[in-house]
Amino acid sequence: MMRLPEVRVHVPASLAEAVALHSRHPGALYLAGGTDLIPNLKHRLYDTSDLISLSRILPVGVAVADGEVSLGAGSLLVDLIEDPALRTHLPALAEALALVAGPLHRNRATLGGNVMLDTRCLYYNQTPAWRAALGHCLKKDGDFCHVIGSGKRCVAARANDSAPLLMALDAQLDFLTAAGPLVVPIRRLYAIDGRFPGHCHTPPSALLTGIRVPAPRGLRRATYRKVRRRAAIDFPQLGVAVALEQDEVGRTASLVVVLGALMPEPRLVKQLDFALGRGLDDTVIDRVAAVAAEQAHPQESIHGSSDWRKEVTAVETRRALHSLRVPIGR
Amino acid sequence: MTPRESLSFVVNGERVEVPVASADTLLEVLRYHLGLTGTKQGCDKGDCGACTVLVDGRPILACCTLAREVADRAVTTIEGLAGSDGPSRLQRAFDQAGALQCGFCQPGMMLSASALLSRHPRPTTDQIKAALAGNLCRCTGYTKIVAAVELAASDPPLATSVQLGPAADGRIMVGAPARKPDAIAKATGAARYADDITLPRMAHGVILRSPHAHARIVSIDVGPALALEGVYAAMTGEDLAITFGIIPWTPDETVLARGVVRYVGEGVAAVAARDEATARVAAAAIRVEYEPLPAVLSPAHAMADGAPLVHTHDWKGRPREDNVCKDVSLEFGDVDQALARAAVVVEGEWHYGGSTHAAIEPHCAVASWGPDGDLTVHSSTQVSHYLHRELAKVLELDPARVRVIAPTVGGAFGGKSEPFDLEFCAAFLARRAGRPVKILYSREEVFAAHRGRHPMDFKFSLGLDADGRVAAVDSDVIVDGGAYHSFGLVTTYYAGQLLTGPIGFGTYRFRSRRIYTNKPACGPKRGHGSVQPRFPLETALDEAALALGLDPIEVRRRNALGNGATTINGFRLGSCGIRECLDRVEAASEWKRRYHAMPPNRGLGVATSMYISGTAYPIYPNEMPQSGVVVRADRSGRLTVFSGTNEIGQGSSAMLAAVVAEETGVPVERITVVAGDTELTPVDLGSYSSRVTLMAGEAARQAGAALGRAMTEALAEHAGVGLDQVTRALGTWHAGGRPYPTADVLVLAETKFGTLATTGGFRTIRVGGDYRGGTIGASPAYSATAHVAEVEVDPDTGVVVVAKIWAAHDCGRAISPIAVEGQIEGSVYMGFSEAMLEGWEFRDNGLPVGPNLLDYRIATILDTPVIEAMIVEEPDPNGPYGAKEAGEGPLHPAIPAIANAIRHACGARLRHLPFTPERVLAAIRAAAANADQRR
Ligand SMILES: Cc1cc2nc3c(=O)[nH]c(=O)nc-3n(C[C@H](O)[C@H](O)[C@H](O)COP(=O)(O)OP(=O)(O)OC[C@H]3O[C@@H](n4cnc5c(N)ncnc54)[C@H](O)[C@@H]3O)c2cc1C
Ligand code: SF4
Ligand code: FES
Ligand code: FES
Repeated sequence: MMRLPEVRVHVPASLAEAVALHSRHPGALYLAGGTDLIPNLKHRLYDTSDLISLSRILPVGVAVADGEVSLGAGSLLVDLIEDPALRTHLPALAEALALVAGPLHRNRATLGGNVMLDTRCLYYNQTPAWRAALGHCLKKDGDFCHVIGSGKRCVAARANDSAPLLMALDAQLDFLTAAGPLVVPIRRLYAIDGRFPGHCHTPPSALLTGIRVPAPRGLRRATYRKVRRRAAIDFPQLGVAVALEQDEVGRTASLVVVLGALMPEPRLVKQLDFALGRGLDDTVIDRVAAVAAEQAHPQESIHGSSDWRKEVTAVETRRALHSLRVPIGR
Repeated sequence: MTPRESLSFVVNGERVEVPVASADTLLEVLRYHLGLTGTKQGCDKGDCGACTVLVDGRPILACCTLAREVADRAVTTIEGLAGSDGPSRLQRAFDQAGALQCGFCQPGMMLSASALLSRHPRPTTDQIKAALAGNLCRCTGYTKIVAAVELAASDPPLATSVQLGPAADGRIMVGAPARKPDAIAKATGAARYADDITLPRMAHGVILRSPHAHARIVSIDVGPALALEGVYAAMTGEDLAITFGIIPWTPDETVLARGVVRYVGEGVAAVAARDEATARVAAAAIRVEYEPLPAVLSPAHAMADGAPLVHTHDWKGRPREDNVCKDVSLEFGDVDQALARAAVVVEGEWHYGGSTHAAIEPHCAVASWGPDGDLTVHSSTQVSHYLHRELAKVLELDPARVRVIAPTVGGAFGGKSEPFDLEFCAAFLARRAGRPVKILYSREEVFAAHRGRHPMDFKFSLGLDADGRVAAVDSDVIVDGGAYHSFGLVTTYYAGQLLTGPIGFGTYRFRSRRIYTNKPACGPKRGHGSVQPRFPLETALDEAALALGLDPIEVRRRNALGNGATTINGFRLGSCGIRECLDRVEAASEWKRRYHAMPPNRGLGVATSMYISGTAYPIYPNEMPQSGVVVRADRSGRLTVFSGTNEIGQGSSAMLAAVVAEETGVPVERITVVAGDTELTPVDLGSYSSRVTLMAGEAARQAGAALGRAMTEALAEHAGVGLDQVTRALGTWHAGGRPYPTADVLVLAETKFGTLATTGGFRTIRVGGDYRGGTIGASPAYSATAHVAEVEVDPDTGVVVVAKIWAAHDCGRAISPIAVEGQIEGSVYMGFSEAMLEGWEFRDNGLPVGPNLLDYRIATILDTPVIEAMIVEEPDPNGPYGAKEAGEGPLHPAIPAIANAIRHACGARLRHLPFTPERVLAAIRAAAANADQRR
């Protein structure tokens, strides 16, 4: 079996104590559900000797107030998926989380862990023997990226299923850090370089405590589509999140498309203004899809060829828009 | 040693305190500290679900959970699922439904199911599948697992007897649906697999493996490893220099590399230490200096002029000139002439990508030496007897001092059918360390051991005459062998020889060349060597039928061989039920009504196959029985059946018990099967090539019948009636109108004849073609199979959903119909999974792309199509009660049937496995471009 490295596990009694512990052990890692951290540690991806267990102190649950849905970072995915308030106010998120990994992971995995998930790569998420045989890479112990063939940056995939949708919905993240509370819009969380730590624009001590999502109003709806090879367990090869707001006659008031699992940073698709103020007819949908595909630069850091994932970006964007749109002139 | 702290939690209702280190996972604590070995380990990193336990009622992965995280929580393992009154309804339902094959995935599966049932006592099928989507099973195709959960969630009381229905044809046990005698041990976590064995003072071994695909070993220094505390012994390739190989003609392997490493993952040295963690550290401390050599990773490269040689010399030290390790050419009839005259010829290139077995149980061996210098090796093997021979040979021991025991084996599929480095290393290190040694492969090592399906490249031509008869088949096969022979000599023949039925050929030629490459050795995976050529044949047949305007089923019917036919290469088919198989899948899929009326992007496809029921001749030439069985009685009315077969989940022990019950009337409940232990059981060559039911079944039939005769004579004499006045039923015999319990009849027989022990043996039946190589592929009997697959293709993305597969399989006679269905379902699943998902791929330096169960994707319950298994029985004169094989044949047609269905759905012709969305989309485009051109 793959023995874990020797680590100390700290079990703080409060969030403040957790952050204080982090200050004392700067290389420490927070442990939530562990469904990603533990396999990664077995693969010796982190040189840490301290884990700070959060499972008993993180806030959990869903609250809806002041036009906002607040989610505790420690909420288990399984609980969120079935949460009546979430299903009422943000059904797309409940559905997206139901697509994460398999049921056994979701019974322990937290939303906070999903948001803060390390980036993934076929050359990185392997055993030490495998990585040594190939030659280490930029992300861990090396100076060369096997995917892009240079040492410029790491293009590991941001393969967490919550990110695209939370970005599309413009979620705000509440952190606790050694320097006090910190609010970061999720659209500004993820770096364009996939190296760990640093793949998130937050200090290493930043402890995610809550996720706030503006509650939908009127005809604002969202959806997430995930492409993967197996119907369970597999990480996404592509994730497409769309948030769409239309008026009563079907004119588009706002449209956000976010693409996940292609690069370290989910792609917030730009230049969609042409779609605003008019009905979302097939021609507009096709154009949005084409623009999204145009801006997709899938890296072969994960399964699936770049060309195919780019092409499917258009298909899935189209399908997402079709599933959301209100008929024109309704 | 690492500091430990006391951890207190509740396990199966009992509060326990255990000292744990911070880094201990819940899985380690349960299995190795608390002895709760019912919780299994298949990947150790969250990919497979074998380690599922309940924490506060919720199923979670114990391998991804720190033990410390469950402080004060309630943990339920499989051992806790049973109540004081015995196994739970769920456990008994898994048993009754036949859901337990190797059983390795089942503790996790059942815990997931039990959590579901406590929330949804009446779950829908979709809810069941969703709840079990994280638990991978490699044996069952999930079909009977869903049925088991549905049964558990229903009301009717479960059966208490083993037999669940009447036997066939006036028999008393054969053909009766029955539970498996060993299933409940698996359902309760009591069954012991190799890694569940712990011996006093046991050390743990780890093998250090090569990071290079090809390199010269300049030096190895194990000194730094031995200098570490807690390290007991080390070894290198030089310690065991004798070569071996499963085929005695091609012994090209050594236990650990000597001088040269030939693939990434080949063993170079091994250590034994007080625990696995220490052994891993020690292995990493061994200093190996390599001089990298250029590697060949594809047959094309390996066959090019001046290509580096994988082996510069053979095992006799003779220099080698090329990388061709076997070259076979055979021709039957004038193929060129037949092709020239054919009404339609389909030709081209096909590529069959390789795949691996991925049994959920990783290989494990435990070796110990007795005070007299006797060696005992427990190993998760399919071939105790061959392992016995090779251990004696390589360790230079008197075979009489070697004992091999196969405990419960957690799935094999051909992946455990030859000796592996861990068995020799455990034995050698145990001697050197003076203690028992266990070696457990990591999942990555399982991929390095491989011996999986050979990738094959075909140049293939098929010619049909105007009325659809197969006039000619011409096949040039390049077989990618990997670095060693394994079963390769046989594979090279099988790639051509086994293609000649159930579709008959007018003329046939094949050339098959197996090429050494610097990759893990390929070997026998379920359907050894013959799954690959079915792909070009059966897809070409469809294309040719299309060109002639013939229905795909009809074209197969026209070419179908029948009972007593001889194939063009001289194999006699005692029985061949392919026509009925075709009829059955045609009817069940409503082919006639639906084939021409499918909605857009939905398609149906058909394919057929045949497979051997064991190889006619043993691997090493000898005139002794290939299977021996001893049955002995004791005075309680219990029988013990001794057989060298290996129970790998396929149900061989249940089959043996059923056969002996048939012949003696002693109920299966009173029969113990002792299997796979070379010291206790007569020799059987092992559980491979689908030989067990036919050969060991026949041996058991003979032994049972001999006992039955003794019982008949004794009872007739006692009752004073003629032999024909004695009748037997299960549990009770009758003579002169009076009932006699079988226990009493056995006492009468022992009184009359003395101590009761009878024997049976299956001896080689001389069959095969009268030419060089004509015995390879010859079998006492051949099964036949037909599949219809239904698919839906997404034309925009190339994603294919296989909705359903109907599989009709002629197994001659189903001794246990539930077990046969289970074999059909598991085979269909495995074929489907390798067609759609699995890719055996390598990086440029010879590293497998992702040697783990996340990157190498095996289908989950949600991916797996609905499988409808249909049993066809065309009894074969050579099989016991007419029985033939059922474990491998039903895999073959799945792949071409799916390809044909995709073609039917959208016109895309697939000639490259697996059928990834990328490939399907490209094929859709190519088909469209073709159609445009023709317009
Ligand atoms: C086989 C397999 C398949 C998977 N498939 C998917 C998939 O399809 N989609 C997907 O999104 N994920 C997938 N995962 C990854 C993982 O299971 C999920 O992302 C999960 O939500 C992670 O949550 P966790 O609580 O287990 O995080 P952990 O493993 O505990 O932590 C993950 C990371 O987040 C950090 N972290 C955790 N909580 C906090 C916090 N509150 N504040 C700051 N940092 C924190 C940790 O330090 C760590 O770096 C898969 C994992 C496995 C093993
Ligand atoms: S993208 Fe490149 S640098 Fe990043 S993990 Fe993969 S190989 Fe390493
Ligand atoms: S052993 Fe835990 S998921 Fe495979
Ligand atoms: S029974 Fe599921 S893996 Fe064998």
